[in-house]
Amino acid sequence: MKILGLSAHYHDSAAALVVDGVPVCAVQEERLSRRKHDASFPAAAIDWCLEQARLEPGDLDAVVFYERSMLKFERILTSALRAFPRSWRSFPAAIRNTLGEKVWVRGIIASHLGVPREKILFTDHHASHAAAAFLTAPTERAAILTADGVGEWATLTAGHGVRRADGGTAITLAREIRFPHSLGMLYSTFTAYLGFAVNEGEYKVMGLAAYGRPTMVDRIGKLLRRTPDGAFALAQEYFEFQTTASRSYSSKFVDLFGPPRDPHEPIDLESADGRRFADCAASVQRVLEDVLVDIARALHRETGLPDLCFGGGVALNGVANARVLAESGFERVFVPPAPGDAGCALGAALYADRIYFHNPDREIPDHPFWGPAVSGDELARAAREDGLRVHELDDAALVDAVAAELAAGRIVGWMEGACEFGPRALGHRSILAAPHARETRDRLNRDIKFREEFRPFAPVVPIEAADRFFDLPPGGARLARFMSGVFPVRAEWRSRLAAVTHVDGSARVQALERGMAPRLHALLEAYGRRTGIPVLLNTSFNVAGEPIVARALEGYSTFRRGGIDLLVGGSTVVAKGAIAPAETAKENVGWWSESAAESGGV
Amino acid sequence: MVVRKRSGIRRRLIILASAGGSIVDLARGLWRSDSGKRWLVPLAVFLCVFGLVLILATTVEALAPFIYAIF
Repeated sequence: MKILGLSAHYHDSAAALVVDGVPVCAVQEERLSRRKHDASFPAAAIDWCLEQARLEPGDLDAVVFYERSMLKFERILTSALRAFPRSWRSFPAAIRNTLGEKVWVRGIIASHLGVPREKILFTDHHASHAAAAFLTAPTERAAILTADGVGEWATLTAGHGVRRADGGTAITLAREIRFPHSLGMLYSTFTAYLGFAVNEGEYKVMGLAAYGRPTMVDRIGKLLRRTPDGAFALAQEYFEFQTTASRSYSSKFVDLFGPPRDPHEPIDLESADGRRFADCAASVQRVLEDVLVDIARALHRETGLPDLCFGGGVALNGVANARVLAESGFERVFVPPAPGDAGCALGAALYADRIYFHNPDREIPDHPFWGPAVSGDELARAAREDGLRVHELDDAALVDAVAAELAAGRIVGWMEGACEFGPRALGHRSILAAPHARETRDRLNRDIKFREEFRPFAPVVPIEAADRFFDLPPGGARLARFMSGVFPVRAEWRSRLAAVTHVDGSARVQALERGMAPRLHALLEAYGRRTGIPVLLNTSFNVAGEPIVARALEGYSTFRRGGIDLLVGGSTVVAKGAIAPAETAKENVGWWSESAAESGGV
Repeated sequence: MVVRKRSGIRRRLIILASAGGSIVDLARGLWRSDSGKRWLVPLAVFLCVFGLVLILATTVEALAPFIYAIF
């Protein structure tokens, strides 16, 4: 059976193709359109998926949209009416926005793909999240928790999933918390208050939280009231996301927490305001963690299962995930590489396959690499046209040469195979650097990523060596597989891993299994042989405001514009002409000087 | 390119053609919902039809003056 899953129209639209129960490819629209968080109908992603599988739209058995758009329209309408007359300003805009395109999803899909109406299916938003989390996880039975801003009505769901011996699959979401009571909206409101873009700046709030103290937890308690059944409710007088699209917090919120941050002003952590913003971030982070831990703990008691599958945008919060693992009683926590709305495209397709069509369960490859592949030839051609030095190396020579460059302090753009599905660079589209010096972090932030200096970078380490450098709890390696947990760096290594150790001594570590990305694993080992520390700084291959690169030319363009010293795409290595080879590299690896001489490097 | 490229007019006409079913789904869902939202059906249907009229106005430009004249 060939099933195309789609997510679109809010943020991070994507397409995923499942053939005979197994994902064949999946890609976010932003990776192809080059517009970050592109929410438009994923025509390019669909096109790429079908082309990849050599299918025509007519070959598809079903096209599944990740949520019920009409139910969402009902929620928008009901919410606007409930908030009337305060919502009178936002009502026309909300209705126009929804009726313009978002509500006519069936027609839009039919118009683009030409598939008949009966082949177009819809799943619940949180069922898509649950399916993306459970059906991709290597577990037979698991509790399921999903949490995000809002889907149709649900903002958080809890239940369980089971793969039966007869091949059947069941997902039961027994309880839900409904809009406007939402953990995701609470966090996003603070994101907006702290001057960051909603649906993008939540990472920054998490990073900023480490600089502050949770001194405002009591005040946030006025916004988020715990209910006797273990859930929570938001006090609506502090929020405006129901009544206007322009601001999510109310004047009463500002009275409680003080003036919001001007997005154009940098955060000065030495100033009183800077510390207040950091404390705000720390407090909302603490509240989010506490609520999630309580809900997960109750779910563990109720299900008695050792595994938890956690999906939805909130599952991108690695600090909270680590606390859920440590304190909820679950032995393993599975967070998919794309827990947000993009991942719903894959979740919707899998849900339709297993639950709607009752197809037998199939094992799903446990990796995130479902996107477009990189072409070393394309990279070599572009670099040669520009007169740069190009080297074609076999794997062993490439790994050795790049390890030498990294050890010499070079920053490397690393592209390999298919690109990741999801927001994290997990070893196929990464910028790699030595993790030892804080200066490397500052250089990356300042010259390459162009982002705030308080934001940390993540380390990648072979799974076999992870425990030596990071204090991973039981089950932590699983959470670290897709960089979904933040764990302490062991005290004795912090000074030698300064570029990847956050101010609170933690790191969002990726524990890499050899089978997932063999060449990167080999690079880590080679780097370890040279330096004694098989850890590298691994950040997404993009600059601020741009999506992660997908194809070789995009990587090449980023390489040319930023301060990256060396670019690797497949077996092709490109070096910037203006940079002199490092002494250690010259000494240890002959390829650099010889090849440079051969190609008459610029 | 395996996804068919259609003109904007043709795509909007397909959307219009399938909208009736979507509106019926919405109305049916509201009517059957156990949270007492039947009163919402007329408003929801009216807004959907209103939205469709606007799509029609942008699709067939010759009709636009007549449609806007209604308002």
